[in-house]
Amino acid sequence: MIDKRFVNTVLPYLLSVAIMLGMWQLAATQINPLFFPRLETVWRSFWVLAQGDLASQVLVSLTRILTGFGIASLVAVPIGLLMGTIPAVHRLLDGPVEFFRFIPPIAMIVLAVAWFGASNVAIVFLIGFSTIFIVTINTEAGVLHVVRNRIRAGQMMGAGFWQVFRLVVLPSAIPHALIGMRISMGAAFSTIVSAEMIAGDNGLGYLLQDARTTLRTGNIFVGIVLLGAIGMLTDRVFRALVDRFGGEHVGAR
Amino acid sequence: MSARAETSSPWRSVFAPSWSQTRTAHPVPGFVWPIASALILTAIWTLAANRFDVTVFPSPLATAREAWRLIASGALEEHAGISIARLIGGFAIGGMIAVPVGFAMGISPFFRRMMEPFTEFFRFIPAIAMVVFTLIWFGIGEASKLFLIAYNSFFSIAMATEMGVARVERSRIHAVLSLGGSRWDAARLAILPSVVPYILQGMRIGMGRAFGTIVSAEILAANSGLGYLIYSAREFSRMDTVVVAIVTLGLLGLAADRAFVALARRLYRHALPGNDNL
Repeated sequence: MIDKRFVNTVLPYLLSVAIMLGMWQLAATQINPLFFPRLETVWRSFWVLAQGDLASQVLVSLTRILTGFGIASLVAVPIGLLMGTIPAVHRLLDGPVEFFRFIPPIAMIVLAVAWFGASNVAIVFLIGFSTIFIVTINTEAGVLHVVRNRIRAGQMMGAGFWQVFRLVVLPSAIPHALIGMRISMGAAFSTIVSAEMIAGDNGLGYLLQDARTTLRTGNIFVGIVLLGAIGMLTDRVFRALVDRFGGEHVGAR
Repeated sequence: MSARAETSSPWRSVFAPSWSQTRTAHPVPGFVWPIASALILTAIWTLAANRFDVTVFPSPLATAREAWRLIASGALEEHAGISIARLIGGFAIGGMIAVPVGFAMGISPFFRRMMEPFTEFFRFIPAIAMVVFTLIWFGIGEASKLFLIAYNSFFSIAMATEMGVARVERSRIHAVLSLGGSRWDAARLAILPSVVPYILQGMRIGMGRAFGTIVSAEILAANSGLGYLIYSAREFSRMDTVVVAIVTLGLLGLAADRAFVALARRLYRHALPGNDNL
């Protein structure tokens, strides 16, 4: 007997992955391998790269992302909290934040290279730029979404500004800040690839650019699949964090 | 990201109930604040620019002069027009594929499970990583940019559509069915109209990402568009041109975003739905 849950959940996944790989292989046999490599070519490229410096290239990109993302979040969360609680700060910073968040981070690359040279700092700056505004806006939104009655309840029981801030506002704002971080992590991945393709001499983006100039399509596929896998993993981590730190507040809104 | 629309207008502190009741009428009129923050920003910019060479950090005045030169010569309009045409073309292609796919994913659980391994994996691959392929597949011409933008917009639009279908009130579907309508009628009359705001929201999110993608694509492989304008200015260290192009991109992004919000308001008289899961 086949389990019904298996038919409903696992089977479609297996089926679709099998179809995808089958279509890939079929396409690869029809098309020039220079344009579209076969599965075994990609697998071989992966092994060759894995025995080389693939791990260190991934590490270089991840370190840049975490540095830029970390610094920007450390700046953005307090600013977002201030904008949410103090009207004057909101009025002063709202305009600039609303404008800068529409500038694609990668458009800053020429300025970043002029300011910091074609270095790690320039790329970390771009990652920070793609993080800071999204996290600020989401943190502020988190403060503004605090249920008013919870604040009133705290104040009625004699809590002062700091107690209300620490016990009511902060816990409600954290899941929103985490959601902002999750969104900006996606943006950071896209920025790091472009930045390393344009101005890097190592990292995953550089790997792609290098494979492109030397027409090693197998390597390009390896880089792309890796990016997808790492991006998906970090997204899952942030989802788990949101659930852990009071995701129910966000859902309940 | 969606909170702005609902919370902006009568802006008061979260703590307002206790300590601002006596001064609800603000002493400073509202228009003063944006002007003040613009002035402060320009002052900081001028001070910072004074310390550096124009090839590193152009002053507001130098930037304004360059903006005027680019507008008067028609170069800025031309490059911006090319980028906008690429964005709209790619968006149209991506949306035409994404809406039916997202709709089918929302209606049929089996189809959704079949598609999920694709959508859940590919949406984490930055569109720009695909640029290397599109150059090999489509060459350096327009097709490669259209593909990138379409690829980029597909995921946010398809997932927003799917989410919209999943959130349609069941009673509306039951109403159509119990009045003798077919399943097709239910899809057309009950589901589709309630999904349109979600599609618009998906487009709004996708548009933000598409701006980044088109700039990268134009930097890496193009000889026109705002991304190209930025990168070609690098060779002559014309940072004033770079800043003009960056500001133009920011203004275009802001305008596109506000256009989507206005369209949704016009059609539905309420704010866009929140899509935190995109």
